[in-house]
Amino acid sequence: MLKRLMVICCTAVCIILTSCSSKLSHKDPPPAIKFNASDKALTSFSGEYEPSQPPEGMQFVAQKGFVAMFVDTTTGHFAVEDMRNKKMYYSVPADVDSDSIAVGVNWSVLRSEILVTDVNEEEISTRIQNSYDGCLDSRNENSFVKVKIVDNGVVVGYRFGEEQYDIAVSYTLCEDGFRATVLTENIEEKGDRKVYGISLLPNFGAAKNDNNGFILLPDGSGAIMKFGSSKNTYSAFYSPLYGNTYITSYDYVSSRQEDCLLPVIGIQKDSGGVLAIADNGDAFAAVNATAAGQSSEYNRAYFSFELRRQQEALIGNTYAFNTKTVTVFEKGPINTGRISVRYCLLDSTAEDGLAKMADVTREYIKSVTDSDVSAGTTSPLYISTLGGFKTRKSVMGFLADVTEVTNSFGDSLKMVDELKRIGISDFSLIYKGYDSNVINGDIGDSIHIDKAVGKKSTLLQISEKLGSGKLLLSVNNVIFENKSGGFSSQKAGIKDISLNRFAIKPYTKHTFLEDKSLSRKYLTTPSLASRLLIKINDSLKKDYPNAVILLSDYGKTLYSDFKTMNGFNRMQTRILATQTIKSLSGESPVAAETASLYSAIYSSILVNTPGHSSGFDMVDEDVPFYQMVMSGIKQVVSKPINAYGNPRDEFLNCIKSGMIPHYELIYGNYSALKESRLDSFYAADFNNWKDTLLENYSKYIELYNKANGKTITGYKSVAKGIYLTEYENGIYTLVNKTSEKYSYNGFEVPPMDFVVMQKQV
Amino acid sequence: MFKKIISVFLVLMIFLTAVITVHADTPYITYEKSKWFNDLVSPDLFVPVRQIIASQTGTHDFSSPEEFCFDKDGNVYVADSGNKRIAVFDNNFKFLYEIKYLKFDDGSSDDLKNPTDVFVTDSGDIYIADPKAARVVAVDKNGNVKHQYTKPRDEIFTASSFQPTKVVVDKTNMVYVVCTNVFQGILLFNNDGEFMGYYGSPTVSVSLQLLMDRFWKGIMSKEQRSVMSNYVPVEYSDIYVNNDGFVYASIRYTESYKEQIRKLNYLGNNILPYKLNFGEDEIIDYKRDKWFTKFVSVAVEDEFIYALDSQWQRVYVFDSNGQRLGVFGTNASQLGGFLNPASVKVFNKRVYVLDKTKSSITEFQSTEYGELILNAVSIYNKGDYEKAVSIWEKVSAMNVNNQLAYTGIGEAKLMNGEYKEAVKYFRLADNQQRESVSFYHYRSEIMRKYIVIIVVLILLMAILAMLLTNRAFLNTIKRYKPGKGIVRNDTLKVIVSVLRRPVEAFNELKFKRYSNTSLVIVILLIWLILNIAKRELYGFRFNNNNPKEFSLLIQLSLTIIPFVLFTVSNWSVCAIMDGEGKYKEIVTYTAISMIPYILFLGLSIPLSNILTLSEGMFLSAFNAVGILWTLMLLFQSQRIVHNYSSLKTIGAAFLTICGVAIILIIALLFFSLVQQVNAFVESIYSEIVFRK
Repeated sequence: MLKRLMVICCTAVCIILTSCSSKLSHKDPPPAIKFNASDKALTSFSGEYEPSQPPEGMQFVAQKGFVAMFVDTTTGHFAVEDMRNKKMYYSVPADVDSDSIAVGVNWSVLRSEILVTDVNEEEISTRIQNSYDGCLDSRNENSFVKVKIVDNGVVVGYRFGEEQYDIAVSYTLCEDGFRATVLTENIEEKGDRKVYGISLLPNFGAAKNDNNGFILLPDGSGAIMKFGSSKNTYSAFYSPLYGNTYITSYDYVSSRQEDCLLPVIGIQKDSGGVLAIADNGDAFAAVNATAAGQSSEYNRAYFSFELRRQQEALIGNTYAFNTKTVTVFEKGPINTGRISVRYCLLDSTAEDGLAKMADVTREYIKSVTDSDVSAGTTSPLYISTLGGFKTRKSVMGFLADVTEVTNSFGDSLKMVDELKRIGISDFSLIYKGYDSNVINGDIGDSIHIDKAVGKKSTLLQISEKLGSGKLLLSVNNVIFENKSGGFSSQKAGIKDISLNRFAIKPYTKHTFLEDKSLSRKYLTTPSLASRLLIKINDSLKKDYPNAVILLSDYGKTLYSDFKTMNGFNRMQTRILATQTIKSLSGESPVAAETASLYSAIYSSILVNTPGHSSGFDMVDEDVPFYQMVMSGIKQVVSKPINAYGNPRDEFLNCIKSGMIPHYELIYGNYSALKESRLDSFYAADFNNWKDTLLENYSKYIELYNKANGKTITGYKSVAKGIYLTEYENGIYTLVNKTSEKYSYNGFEVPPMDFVVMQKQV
Repeated sequence: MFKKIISVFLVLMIFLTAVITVHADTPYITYEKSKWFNDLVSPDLFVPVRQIIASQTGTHDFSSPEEFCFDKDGNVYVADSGNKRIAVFDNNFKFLYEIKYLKFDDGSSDDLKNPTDVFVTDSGDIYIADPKAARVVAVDKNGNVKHQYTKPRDEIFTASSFQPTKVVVDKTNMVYVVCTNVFQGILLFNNDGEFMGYYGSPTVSVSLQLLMDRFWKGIMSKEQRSVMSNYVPVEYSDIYVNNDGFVYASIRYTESYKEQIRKLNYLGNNILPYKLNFGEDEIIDYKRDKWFTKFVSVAVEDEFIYALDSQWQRVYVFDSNGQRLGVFGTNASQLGGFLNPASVKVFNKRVYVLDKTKSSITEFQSTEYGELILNAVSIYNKGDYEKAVSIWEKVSAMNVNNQLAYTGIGEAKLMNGEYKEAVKYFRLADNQQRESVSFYHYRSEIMRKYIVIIVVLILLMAILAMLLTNRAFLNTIKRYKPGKGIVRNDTLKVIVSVLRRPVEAFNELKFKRYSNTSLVIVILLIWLILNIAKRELYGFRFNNNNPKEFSLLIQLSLTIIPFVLFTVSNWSVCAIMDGEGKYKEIVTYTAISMIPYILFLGLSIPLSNILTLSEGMFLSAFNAVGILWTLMLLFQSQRIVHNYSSLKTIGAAFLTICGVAIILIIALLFFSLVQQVNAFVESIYSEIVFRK
């Protein structure tokens, strides 16, 4: 009997412990990194094709789909041919010797297939090696390039004799292009220098300024750098994919930039183009581009990958006199898994290149989506509101952190009624600042309505009034302040390379230095973030079955956790995030803010989508590439229009980009936001925007009814400030962002306005 | 109706003036400054439209361009220093021609050596400052030299060389030249090239640091003096002449961070109403690097002043009074960002910034929000508050943090006699002066409305006062004996007697060896509570405490800590000066002496809520009575408790204050040491972790 009791007790304790650990654990092992080796074409094609004669010095290797490959076995240079139009693309430009600008290292870089960033950790010296100087033209007798022909392609071994490491890269054909894969498991380092980064095919598809083409960069909504214009005095483009890597806490941040949300780069020539997709190891990738005139006569764009990480760390604290920064390196073998870039060849022109790149990217997204995604309810208008925020207030003479209510549930109910009364009948409401955990900067595993903002029953009433799927409840499960809903912030937060807790520093807008008056923020460990999100979603589904979960920070914050036990690298975090969102999306739609590809795949509603690029000097024009890719498969919602200095201009930007307009509104205590130090909702007075909202809604609804859910098949600027967007069903919009009226094919567009047209068959 | 027409007109005007906006997500965050916060996010005031690089306009790229200017037709002249030329473009930035060579009347010619500034008069004369050639020349478009301005031979020109870096010309053809290493002011030439003297001579601002350095220099050797920095007047970094003939000047930095932007009248005096810091407050980062605003260029259009800061690489916009309207730009390789901004110009309401490193000119245009602010300020500064209010309301709706809008609305409400509303808006604007004026009217209105009740209240208070001075009434009260408590009836008697007859009362207390720890605690607690209450409840007009910052430590350091320091120091000092007071007695008598101050402190809180700023002297006088009364009691208590003469009491008080200072220094050293040890341990820990 006693034995039985003991067994029961032990079992009970075990169950409790297991359930506790599953509830709180942030020690789950990282997911395995699988290699995506799909080689099916992302563009439709038919027929049989014949390869052309090999270029001089090269031999035919293989052909697949409409692509043929040729290689020079002595140098490792290769070429691929789009057999549909007989266009040849080279790993090193065919006319490279005609370049009159590149000298020194730049001359060698132009003749290289890979660039390697290596580090001597003892000497703390970083160098960038190129495969031409390091393997082909090295004085070291151990240096060489070795080409091995395999099925569908070649494997090229690069031995950097002086640096004493070997890197093997395979170039294998897909039906519509080829894939370059760094066989990271085969990298051998025998010397003091360790491989920290690799840039793949920096010259592939490079084009001179005599071409009438462009480079597409996935910066924000998308940006194009046109060939032909001089940009000598500007810096080259560099931006890590999916935004901040959260490895170093910067001490000074002076500008804001959009993130690169899609893992693609496009190069469009006069005719024919290439779309490069970082399809393995994308979380370690960065987008690079240089303009003709900067280092050579070629416009170039390529991906670079970080194989190991390094970090600037501070020794001493801010009070110490001898404070200094040191570089700390990630130890151990490379654990990125294989990294690869897929190059899709396009039969396109400068006119339709952008649309074809969008088509291929869309097909790529479909190809990596392996389960159904709930479509979600559509709305022609999104309104964000803020329940409340944390502020310091005097209570009996002492300051205390209290919730300042801006739009209580009661206020929102009135706002919904008022909007319906004035004729805005169909819209979705995004609720922020309603959860006490979020308001207090904590993280939790369920929805906790802040009592000051309202009652659960009122929120349910709002949800009912709006209709199913039209209430979006914003959740935060990644970024938190000091407390963390019962979790120790030391355990809940990720660690940096130096094993210190990583902190996000708040910055003052006027000095760009850390704002000591605001709390630092921390990032939850990837496994904890995933668990919390699943639990929050369960709680949301149970209590608010008609509401949709909106991932406020989960879909756009990608980081590594350098804990010694069960640490996650950025790729593992990305895989887990995608898996987690996938598990949520099976039952009901998921909305995500500023979603990168990895989170957009299984999300139905993409909120706060950037309408512009970062505007880098090198870039000539913003294009709505992200919107074009997502059109027809997701709902793309703009950033809040009324937060801009030119709200009318932003509304027109929504029209030209095919985005659903989004406004921030406060019906209740708007003046409470004064000096709140929030970065949003400073222009959200309901009474001020009511009329504009109605006017824009009435005008937009026509376009929405005709084009909602349709794919954008064309976008171009027909004149300065005039934009034409075409949908798959023959609907056009013509947006006039100038101060003069504009006539187009018999249609007259008033200044700062737009018209919707139907293509005449 | 009129209001509506005006607002419709203004909105239409905004839309008509809006041309093409290319980029809206700017690399910078536009921010507002409030009384308590320096960085409240706001919509953008200006957004970048385009970036012009020379090679896209029909000529080769600029090389280290230093300056540029517009002529009256909008043609652009760039001092392309690295290329030793003046490049000229039409108003759409299409390259027209360049000036590289100068042709003199005598048939000789010369190259431009290193042009750093260019200015074009309405008659088309092009003035070029060329410091390497030590001259300013006025040329026509073909490079024919009309006038030449070289090193003045006047004895008041004491600089060793003549390196003109900036030049402007006013309507009367007077030429203003800024020279490197000339600290006496701007050099003024007439049109014939004759040196007329200095203009707008800056002065060295007297600061504590300067006085200290003067003192040290007086006792130092020549060698020691030579390594100390010299105080010289500041150099102007840029000058600008507007159509009214006023010269605007910018200064890279001043020791006191004041008057970095100046508007000089014909006498050279600064007549800009605002004379404080135009940029950001100086900050020192953890690397001990100093950061402060460095204005390198200034331009004016209509009544708005645009100043370029090279430190944080931003353009500041001020109104004609020097009031900041907004800030835009940042350090970035993005459209709207700068790497090394050298000059700002305004033409047709568009702002242009020349960047030396990018070798480009960035064009900005105002947003709907910016246009609203500029219009509102323009109308407001003309005194037409009524007309401005509808625009201010729009501004306020677009940005809850805009203080100017609240002031604008407040002024209109004040003018319309809506005093209560005016008070509300001026409070939102943190504008104490104008709130005080509104409150004065509002108070009069209330008084008129409730005059009967006020009179009745005054009568009641008079009756109460009479009762309190009535002996029979007081005797009735005296018969009341409260039970045991912390403050007993006899304690109240002690307090009253000290307040009425301090010398007698303290002598009696000394005789009885009276001390009461409970009383001390109660007094100190009341002091602390009233001090906190003063911080929170003091009238808006007199309250300069940040409502969102509170530290109990600061409150303690203003009340209980100085009390403890004083009593401990006094006890220590008097112990060696044959003082007879025991610590308990010192504490008790000092606490009792504090009572008048605390009493007046408490009464000043309601008073501060009903007085206006102009009546502030009554509040000061009221508080001063409390302080003086306490000081008097403190003096008597010290004298009696230690049995000192008056002179010795003064001496002991002085030494007590010195003692407090010594205790503070020791505490400071101790805390500093703890901090350094902490930092040292942290550094060691970091080293170990990083090297693992």
